[in-house]
Amino acid sequence: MNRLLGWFWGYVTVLVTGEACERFMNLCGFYSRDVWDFQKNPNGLTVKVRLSEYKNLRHSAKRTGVHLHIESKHGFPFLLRRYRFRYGIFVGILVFALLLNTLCGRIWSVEIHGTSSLKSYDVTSMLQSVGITEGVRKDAFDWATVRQKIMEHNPQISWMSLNPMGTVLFVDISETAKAPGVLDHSIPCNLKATKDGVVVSVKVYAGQSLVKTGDAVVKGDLLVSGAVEYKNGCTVFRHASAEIVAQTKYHVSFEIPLRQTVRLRTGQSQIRRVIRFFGMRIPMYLGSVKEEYETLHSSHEVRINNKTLPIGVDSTIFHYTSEKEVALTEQQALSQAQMKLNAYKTTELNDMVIKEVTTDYTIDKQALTFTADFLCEENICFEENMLIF
Amino acid sequence: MSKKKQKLEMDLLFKLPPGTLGTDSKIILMGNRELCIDGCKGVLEYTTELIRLNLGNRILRLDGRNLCICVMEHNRVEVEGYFAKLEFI
Repeated sequence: MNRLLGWFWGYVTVLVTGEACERFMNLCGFYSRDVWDFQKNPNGLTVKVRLSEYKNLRHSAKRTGVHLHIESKHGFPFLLRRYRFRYGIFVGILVFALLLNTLCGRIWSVEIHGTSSLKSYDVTSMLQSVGITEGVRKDAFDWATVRQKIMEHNPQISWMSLNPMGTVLFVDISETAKAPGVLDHSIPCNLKATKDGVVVSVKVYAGQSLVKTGDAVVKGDLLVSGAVEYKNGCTVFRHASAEIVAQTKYHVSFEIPLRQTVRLRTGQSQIRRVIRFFGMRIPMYLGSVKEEYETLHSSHEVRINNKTLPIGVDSTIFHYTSEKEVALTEQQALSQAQMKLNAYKTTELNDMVIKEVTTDYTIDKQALTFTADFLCEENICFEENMLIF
Repeated sequence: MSKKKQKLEMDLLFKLPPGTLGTDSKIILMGNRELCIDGCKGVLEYTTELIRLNLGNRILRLDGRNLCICVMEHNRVEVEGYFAKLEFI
């Protein structure tokens, strides 16, 4: 450390010649000059002295009658002097310092952990809403306050931590688990049928059942009564609870026109790229697309050692399209109908067990008519509060 | 009683190591390669084979080879080299 400091402040090697070298040494010691490494050789005495102390030596040299001659110069001040006209070095050092301060003091990537139902882009949007984007300064935010703000505006997050480490912001999230609804068993109610059907199974948890397996019920029929009569004659009003599964039928019909106007790609396309560089977006194109088009987006980022850098390319492919009237074949119309049927099953019949599906279709010059009949099993109970006077 | 004797008596009274309150020079010798002297008054002679140091009430003569005074501060001297003989004159 001392040597490093000595080099930094600069020192010179001085040859002391004359008769009274020892006296000169004693005077250096007496005045506590910063002098070291006294080497005796046939020419005289060589000493090393700090640059700032050299002019003080001349006073001791004059008193003792010795001569001082600088043999060599060492240290940073001499290096600086040698390159003092090389302005590029100083500019380079300044640019380096600025770059270091700019690049290291900012957030360049975000890593999100702990999400299950929330998507990463949802969390990114939450961060953007409070001003946290690529390239923001780390010290511009009070992270505890930011975290509190995000959690207040997003009740689906039960806990969150924001840890800026280096140039990466680590976001850890725990999502809120929905508590199951509490059933209010204090209000007496009956269970009635929501749909027409044939009862397949009866499981009564509370109340008095009025149907059994095999009974046909219509919509609105009383299935389980909340008024329970005991053998001793008393009647107790309860909150009826049961699971009554019945067979129900559904009928659906779709009409698929055989002549349709569709948007088709013309075969021509154009790629437009935008370079992302440390928060800046540099478009590599001019003008805008005027025709009708479909777009396909892709994004490529530079990664080093599994770390994403804030450098990448966003590409958008514009496929030009035009409207055309097409005539569908029977097969094509059927496959469209099948797709609609699958969508219907997913949205309308999601909660049921489908036992049987019967499909049929008719076709004429204008359209294909597709029908489907479903035989399902589902819980047909719904609660109706009892009015007790 | 001379001052020196007085200081020695004080050392014994307070059970301190002799010379603690005194003004004698302190010499630390590490093997035959390094020598550190506190209380040196000055250098009388300096060559690579012979160094003579003024310790106040006596003179220390160092014989050897490749002798070199590395540090010389107000009353502290550090000498390096191969010491063959130390003599108090």
